[in-house]
Amino acid sequence: MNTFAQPHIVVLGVSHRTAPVALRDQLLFKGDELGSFGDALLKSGLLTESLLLSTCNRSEIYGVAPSQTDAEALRICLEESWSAHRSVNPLSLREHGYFLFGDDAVRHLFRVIGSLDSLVLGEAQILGQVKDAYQIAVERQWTDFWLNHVFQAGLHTGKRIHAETAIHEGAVSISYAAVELARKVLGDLDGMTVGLVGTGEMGELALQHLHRAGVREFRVFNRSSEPAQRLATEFGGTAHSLDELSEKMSGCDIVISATGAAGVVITAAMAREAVRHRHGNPLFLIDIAAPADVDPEAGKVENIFLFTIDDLKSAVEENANQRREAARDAEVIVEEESARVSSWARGLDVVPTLKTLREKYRSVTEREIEKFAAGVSIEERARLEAFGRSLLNKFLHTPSTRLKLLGEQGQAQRASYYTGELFGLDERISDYEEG
Amino acid sequence: METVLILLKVLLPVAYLAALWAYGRAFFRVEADGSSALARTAMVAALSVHTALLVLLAITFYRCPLWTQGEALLFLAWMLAMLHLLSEWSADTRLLGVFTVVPAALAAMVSVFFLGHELALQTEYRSSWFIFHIVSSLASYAAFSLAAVLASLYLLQYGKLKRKDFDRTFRRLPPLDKLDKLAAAWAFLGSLLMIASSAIGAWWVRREALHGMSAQEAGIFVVLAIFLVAAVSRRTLGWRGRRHALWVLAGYAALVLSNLWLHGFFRA
Repeated sequence: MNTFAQPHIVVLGVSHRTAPVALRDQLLFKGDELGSFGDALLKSGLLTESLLLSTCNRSEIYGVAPSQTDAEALRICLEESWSAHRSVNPLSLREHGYFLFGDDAVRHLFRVIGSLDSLVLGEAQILGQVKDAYQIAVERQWTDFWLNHVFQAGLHTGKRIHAETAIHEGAVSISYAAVELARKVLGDLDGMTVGLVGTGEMGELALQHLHRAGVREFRVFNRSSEPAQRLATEFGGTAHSLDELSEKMSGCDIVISATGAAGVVITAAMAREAVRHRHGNPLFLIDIAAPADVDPEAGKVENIFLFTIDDLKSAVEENANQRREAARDAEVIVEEESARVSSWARGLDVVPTLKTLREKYRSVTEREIEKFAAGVSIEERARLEAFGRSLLNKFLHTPSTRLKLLGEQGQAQRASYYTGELFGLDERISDYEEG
Repeated sequence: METVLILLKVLLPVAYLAALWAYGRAFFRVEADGSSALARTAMVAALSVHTALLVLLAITFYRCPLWTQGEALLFLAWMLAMLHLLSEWSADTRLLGVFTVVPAALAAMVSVFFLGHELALQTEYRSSWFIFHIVSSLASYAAFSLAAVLASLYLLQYGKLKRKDFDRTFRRLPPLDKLDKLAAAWAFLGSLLMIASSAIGAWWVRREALHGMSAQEAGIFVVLAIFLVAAVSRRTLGWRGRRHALWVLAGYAALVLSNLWLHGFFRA
């Protein structure tokens, strides 16, 4: 098994891909418990930095494992700790969880932020959820050098994916697709009037989306008044009997029909009459009933736009295809950005050498200044010190940047060795003085 | 001066083609943010070259550059570009630039070939009234062109909605309601400008005792009648959307045909 020579990013988690919903619910980090668990993880010394991410579809612990940590041992400890905290059998976590480290963990995080690992490909909420989780971790001082860099790079990746690909474009649910199509016809839905025929679940869902889109005027038509009244009250609209439909339909900009009726509820003649009274304004009809409520002939009438459940499904499928296509571009961005982080992390391997190099020559500079500063004024001494610092920075600039570059190219060990040999970094300062 | 004039004549089509390319990129590519900013920059650059050319022509000939067919076409292109930018600024139609800049680009490119090859305007027509008449007339043509492009886009989007064709063009085009309102607004503005142009023209002809209205010029009144019917029927009979778009296109077709007739394209 792997033992980390350097600190490593790790992630332990469960998601919609690996775990059933019941287990995911059990493993959620909730409210105050989240804070106590995060603190406990850091106190245990298993991780030096940590961040807890919980959404409907995933719960994950991100952290930094100290150097010389055994990966398998760390996984077991984290699983036990998490299971104990949420009173879950650790074997369930082992069976349904995943544990990634190093480049794989970074790539996984970037895919999560880019909504490439989401249940609904391209959903927009995940970026905000990760931001919130990161904000909590920063406020509680769970993150430091490593996680700050990686999460900031991750959020940058998420923004790039959002701006440079079409992964978030187009509705991928039937009811939201109906709202999007309504917008394509009517523009801004503020101030529009919506009629719902029938009180089925799909219709109610569409009303919710329309309400969120700014519609405030609702008319609910139904055979029995009680469910119509309930929905009307919920959305602040009015309830009507089905007999009033032909008379009041012309006052609606959008009509959603979702009854369980066996025959046609909205005939072509009714639709034609309604649009005639609308003074040229379009009428948007959505038929999500099976069998259909609206006579297909109604769709041929000028300024009537009729969409059936099959049309909406095809719109959703088209959008989903487009998102899948865009996901390929997003994966390229994830690879680019995670490679950048890997390169940055490799560059860090030369940091101890750089520190030693700098420390050695800083001491040398200070001693030389001491020699020449005897008996000079305070101002003269300050000038000598500034001169010394400036020379030191100039001399070490090129070796430092070359060393970092070699580190980023994966040659940290070799570069550190030769730097040590060339600059005598194993020598003590006294050796230099003697020399 | 001559060298700069030649340089600007070469630069003008290049600048418009670059702007069209940038608008096309903004429309067809996903990265709308960066691309559309680039498109506006390219358009402003094209308009700057265009303005510089007009100014240079005015300085070179020491007159308003409207007295030849090439110059009038160049000025029309300039008006089209200006109205496009005005629409972009006031109604956020930048994404439609790939369509709305086409008339400006075409007029600019064609005008470059006509510049300097036509006969100068007859002496009796050289009047400041003529300038007012032509400027308002060209402004109305530009407004009608923009209305026609938007009406065409309305019909395209209408057809896609009826056919349930949810392709990329459908997704990128604005809502029908917006296209309808914009087309109506530009058509109405064009009508007002054309009325103003006709009134100025009539006043000028009467004042200077020039010849009366020719049969070809009467065609312009047919155009005005069509656009006025479109505006009035929209308001009174509710002929909005598709019907209004068809009226606008009919009016624009009449405008193009009457101009071709007026300038002798059918006589050969």
